[in-house]
Amino acid sequence: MNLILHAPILAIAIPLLGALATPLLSKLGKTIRNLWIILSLLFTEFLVLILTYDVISNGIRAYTLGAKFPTDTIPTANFIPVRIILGVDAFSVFMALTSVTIVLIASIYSLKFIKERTKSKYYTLLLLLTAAMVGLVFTGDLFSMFVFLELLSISSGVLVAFYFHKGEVVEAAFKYIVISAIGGLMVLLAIGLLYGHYDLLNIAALANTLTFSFSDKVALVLLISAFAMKCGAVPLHMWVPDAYGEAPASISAVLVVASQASLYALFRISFTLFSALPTIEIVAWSIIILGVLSMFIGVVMAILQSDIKRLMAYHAISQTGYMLLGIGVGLAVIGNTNALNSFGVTAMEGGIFHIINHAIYKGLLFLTAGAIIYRVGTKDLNKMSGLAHKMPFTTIFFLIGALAIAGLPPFNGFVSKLMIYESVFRFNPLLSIIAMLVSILTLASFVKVFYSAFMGPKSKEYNKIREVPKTMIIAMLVLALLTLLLGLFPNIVVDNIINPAAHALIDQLKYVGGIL
Amino acid sequence: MIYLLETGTGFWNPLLWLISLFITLLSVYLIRFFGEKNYNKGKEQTLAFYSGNRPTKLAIKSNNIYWGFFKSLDKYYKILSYLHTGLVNDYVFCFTLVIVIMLTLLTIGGL
Amino acid sequence: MINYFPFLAVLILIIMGLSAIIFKKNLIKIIIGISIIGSSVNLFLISLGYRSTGVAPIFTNAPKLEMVLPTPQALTLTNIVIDLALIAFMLSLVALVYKHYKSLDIRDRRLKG
Repeated sequence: MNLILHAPILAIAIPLLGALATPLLSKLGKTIRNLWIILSLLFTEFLVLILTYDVISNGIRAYTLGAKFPTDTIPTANFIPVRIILGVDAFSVFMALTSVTIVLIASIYSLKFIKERTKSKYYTLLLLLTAAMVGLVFTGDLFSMFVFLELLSISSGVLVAFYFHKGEVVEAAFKYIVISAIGGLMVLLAIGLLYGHYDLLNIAALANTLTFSFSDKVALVLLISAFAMKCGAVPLHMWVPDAYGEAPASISAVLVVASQASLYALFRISFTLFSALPTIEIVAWSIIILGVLSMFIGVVMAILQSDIKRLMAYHAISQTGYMLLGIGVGLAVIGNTNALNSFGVTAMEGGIFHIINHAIYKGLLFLTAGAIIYRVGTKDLNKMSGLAHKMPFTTIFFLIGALAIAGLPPFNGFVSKLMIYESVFRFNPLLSIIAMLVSILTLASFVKVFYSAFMGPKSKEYNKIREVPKTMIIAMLVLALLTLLLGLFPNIVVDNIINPAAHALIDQLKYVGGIL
Repeated sequence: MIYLLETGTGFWNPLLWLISLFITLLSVYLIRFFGEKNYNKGKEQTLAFYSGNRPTKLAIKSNNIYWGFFKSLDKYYKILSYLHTGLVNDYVFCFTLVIVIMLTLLTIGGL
Repeated sequence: MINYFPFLAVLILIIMGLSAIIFKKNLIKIIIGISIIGSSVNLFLISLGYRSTGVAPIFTNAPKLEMVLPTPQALTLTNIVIDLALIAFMLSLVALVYKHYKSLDIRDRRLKG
């Protein structure tokens, strides 16, 4: 069987099979279940890697479900695509690569973090979440995007409510699921509006035939707001500290990449469908304003917190602002070829590179917070002090994560922030100055956490804590090494993966021509 | 070459950064090498100066770090904390507000 | 003009659902608001496909008239199932909230700031 030809649908089907077989296999014993989960995630990662190599060298890959050959996208009787088509281009496969990598590392971390009697349910939900994320970024028509979005919200909602014997966790999960439900219904309303006008659901076919009437603008506004709410842009951000703060620590790391999947949907809609809109500058400036507000308010509220996971959740909001700013600047100059070539492509590359960097260092920070909570038992920063004496590895990994998020060389945060600062400065200097100020405040808040939790004399209550188990250290070590490698050798990723991804977003005609 | 990343207006070369780090560490070592060699380690001469008091073993709680920052920006933090209620009603209200504002901007801009 | 009546009903239902979520303080009433918005979106999708002289979209022994569109009916069925799962999950969370907090008022929240 030609593996590359069927790789898009296998990358969605294998986690789904893994999720549904896990409760059955757990009856056979612990080791078989753990082995099955790690193997299915490794196989998905392998499929995404070979798909990356293929898409970067050969261009976009389309897969039609239910046709005789997977590449027949248009049936011979009609002239419009009627089946469900998976369209994998460079940006989709980049998002799938970050998602599956972070889920793999989080599941290795959870082998010791989650208690034994709830592990089957946890891993079932985690594999469903992986299938939903990969499906969201690989799909080529709007309604499958809605179905995978709802699967993502429900499975991540149940995972947020995992420790349901505490009251605050259930409250946070309720807020998260109400927000996701309303966002999903607004997305369906917008899809209905577009369908009623054009009788098409496929993204490539819609991009060809879109005339920008008033109902299309209403659909655009609904889609942008709903997806911005799902990724945590200010002023729609208030569910983020509740949900990220009360979830188990490995799930907070996975929720970061789940929010970035909605960021993918936002950019797919603005660039591929609506980039020929005459008033695209208004849309681009609203994305830029959302980004700047997110950066600033995120970090200002983060310094105030005294709960370690809520603080990191506010920082997640702030870093999402960087991505919105970078790619918003690219959207604003998309009509102007001169500006696009001189700084627009670099701004988009910076924003897209920041997606993978943020997933890596924010995942590392959440996993270290989980390690602290696993041993100490409390989340409150006021009660901890002097942990560096007993947990040296956790201290070093936290330090690497904190320096990376603040944007200090040689870690990877510095590289993407440098690209965003320099290109946004040529667009509008004020935005770049606000971004640099936010970076300084980020460093300040992480110095606060490092000083109060790790430095200082040993506290008397926590005399008996030891270092965390080895699988958790291995997971954090992999992320820390990735941080260092991506900062020291950024060219391997930027020239080979990020640059095709940025051009795949800008070139609407290449997407349409590759699928139809 | 594999080490150079160029943005439009600048570049990041990790090899140059490593060389400059090495030179900085070398100069730190040289300055320490030419310093005063005979001093009493561990006695009063090397302890931190606490304005004449004995050094304490107290850890500062995280609510008290950055006290000056929070005290001077107290007005603005009150407004922000007032806006961040925990009610789900306010979350959906902000959502409708953003939809209404963006819709008016797009309709007015398209005219 | 009578053809636009379903879409007017959709608009009124969405406004009713959103005002239930924004202004009501009881958790169950918020879930009822979400259910109302779900029903209104289903109504919207079905009435997109309606043709006034149409018959059911089945090819066996079909009369020679225009058929209503079948694709929105598929979208609506999927949406009904998704809303069922969401509302079932939300109701079970409300039951757990009542067990921990002893009240269904949203003003008794503990996570703020």
